[in-house]
Amino acid sequence: MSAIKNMYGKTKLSEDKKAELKAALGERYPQYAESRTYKTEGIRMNDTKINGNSGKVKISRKWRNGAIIAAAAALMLTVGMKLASEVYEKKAERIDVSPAGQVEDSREGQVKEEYPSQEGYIEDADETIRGNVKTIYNAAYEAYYEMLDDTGNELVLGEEKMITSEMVRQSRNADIVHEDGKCSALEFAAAMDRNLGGLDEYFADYDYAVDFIFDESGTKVVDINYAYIYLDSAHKSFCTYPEYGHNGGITENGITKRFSYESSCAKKLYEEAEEAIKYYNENGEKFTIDDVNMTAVDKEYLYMTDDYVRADIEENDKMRFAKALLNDGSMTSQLQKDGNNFVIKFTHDSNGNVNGVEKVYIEVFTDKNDYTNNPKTERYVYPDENKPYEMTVIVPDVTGKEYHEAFDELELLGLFPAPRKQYSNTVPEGIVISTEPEAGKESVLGRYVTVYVSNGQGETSGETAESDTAEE
Amino acid sequence: MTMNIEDVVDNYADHIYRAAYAYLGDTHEAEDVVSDVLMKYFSVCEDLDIDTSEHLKAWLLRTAINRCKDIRKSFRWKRTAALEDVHKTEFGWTEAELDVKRAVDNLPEKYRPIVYLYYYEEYKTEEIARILSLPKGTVVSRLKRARDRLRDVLSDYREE
Repeated sequence: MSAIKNMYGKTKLSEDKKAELKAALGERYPQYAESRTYKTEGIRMNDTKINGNSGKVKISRKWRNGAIIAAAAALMLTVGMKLASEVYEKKAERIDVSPAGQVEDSREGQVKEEYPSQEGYIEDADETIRGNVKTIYNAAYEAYYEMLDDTGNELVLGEEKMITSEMVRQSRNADIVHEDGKCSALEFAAAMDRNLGGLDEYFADYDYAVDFIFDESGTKVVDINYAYIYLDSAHKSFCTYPEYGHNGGITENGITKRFSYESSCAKKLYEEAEEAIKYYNENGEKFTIDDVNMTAVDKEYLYMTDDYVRADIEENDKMRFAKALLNDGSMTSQLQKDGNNFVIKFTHDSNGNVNGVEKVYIEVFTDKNDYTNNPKTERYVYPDENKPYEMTVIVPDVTGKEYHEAFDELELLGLFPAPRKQYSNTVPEGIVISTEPEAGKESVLGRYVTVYVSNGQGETSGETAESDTAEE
Repeated sequence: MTMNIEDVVDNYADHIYRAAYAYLGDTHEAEDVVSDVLMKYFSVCEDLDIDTSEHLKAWLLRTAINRCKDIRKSFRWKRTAALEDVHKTEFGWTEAELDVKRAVDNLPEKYRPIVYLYYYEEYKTEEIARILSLPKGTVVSRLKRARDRLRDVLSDYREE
């Protein structure tokens, strides 16, 4: 199997990339650069620096509730789990106080700075717990793929609609009989137990559970929804993976169903966009953008929520506009959670400022697991649903730019850059030589643009191959 | 354990990159994973309880693979994943090596990090189980299945 080793052996990060990486790390974490050894003082300062750079409230959420977490952690160490969970319970009560009807408030003009918080959901539980809840999720995911995905079995849940830690423990002593085409809840619990195998000691103290996303009819399980760890004995407060509210399912009567898209979704998005424009106009904010698509929303979302905030994300107008669309329960959030795509085209006044919505396009990916073929999509347009989905984009001139710049530029237009390396004697390595279709030509939104990037001056093409096979 | 940027990048960046590339099959995304993982590492390294370089490597690989899983769920990924063979000339692979790569890429996703960790990093199954937080039995059975699926293409390679 050394074939595999040889193949991966050639997979290397270029020296340039490494230098770039060192520079970026050095800038952010100067205390670890070179041989200089600053003492711990640097760490916290540094974190504030990140917050300062991005200028966003959300990123610092860890610190906001930091005191409670620190208190909980300290208690956990000294007094043990029981007291710590009391702290969580107190926190849960505090969340309880906020009026439940708030969601019903008219959404216009309300730019969100916080993401949805469910009653009793503890966003920033202790890191160990967050790690463990992810492990539980992964175990359920593995079980799902073992029991259902590969086999065509259907998960038959009883009344419960959840797999609980209780069931996982029960499954150890139960006689599990497999029936073809079916997988009982207990059988699933046993598969989860296998996947948690050897780690059980970590989970013995927790009550945990996993629930599912069902199809539109509410009968067939199509995905894992959340894994939960309950933080108190009454199951009042809990921690989840993925973070609560990040999945696209719609929960009614305790059952989460996959969101079903229909033609009205484009209309809804259209109205949300109009509301957002109204909100910004009232606040005197102007935008001169032509359109907004999922790339901008996704970036904004990452920018606001992700732990791994990338150094290279800089907020632009499209992202700023996207903020007003990302409301709790909005179509935009739904599309974002389900990983679908959309484009909103704007109309402009004589000064070039956005004053209305021209058209909305929605693209729903229908088979999410099939990643080897081109994704199949369902498209919705509003207004004028009879017209075929067509949106032309003029390919910009990106020759002579760094690949990363070109990538961002094309992506923001709604095109999808596909890199190809080419040897060139005239163009330096990493610089775009040409595109296909070429600059100035029309392409259709969502199409791939092949970007030919220079690989530097190539010797004879067989040379690299020879030198590496010599090891064998 | 080292907390020096030079050391960490020189010694581990390629490993993280390969793991991410093995999982995602995309150079651009893999580069981002390296950057994300190292940013993460330096933001928490003083709180980590890591004593040996082997342990550090395992931590980085594990973080990288978790990050890859996150990326696989994102919209961005769904859109760019349809590309095939665009990296043909990327690493100067021979035709035979390219066949191996295609075969590995055709494996279901869950097998790929295991194949990588076992054949390239030469971890033992227990170690892989720890890195991926899977039970050893699962790792062994997946490795076996992956090997079965790869057998055809790899036997061709040997005869060459």
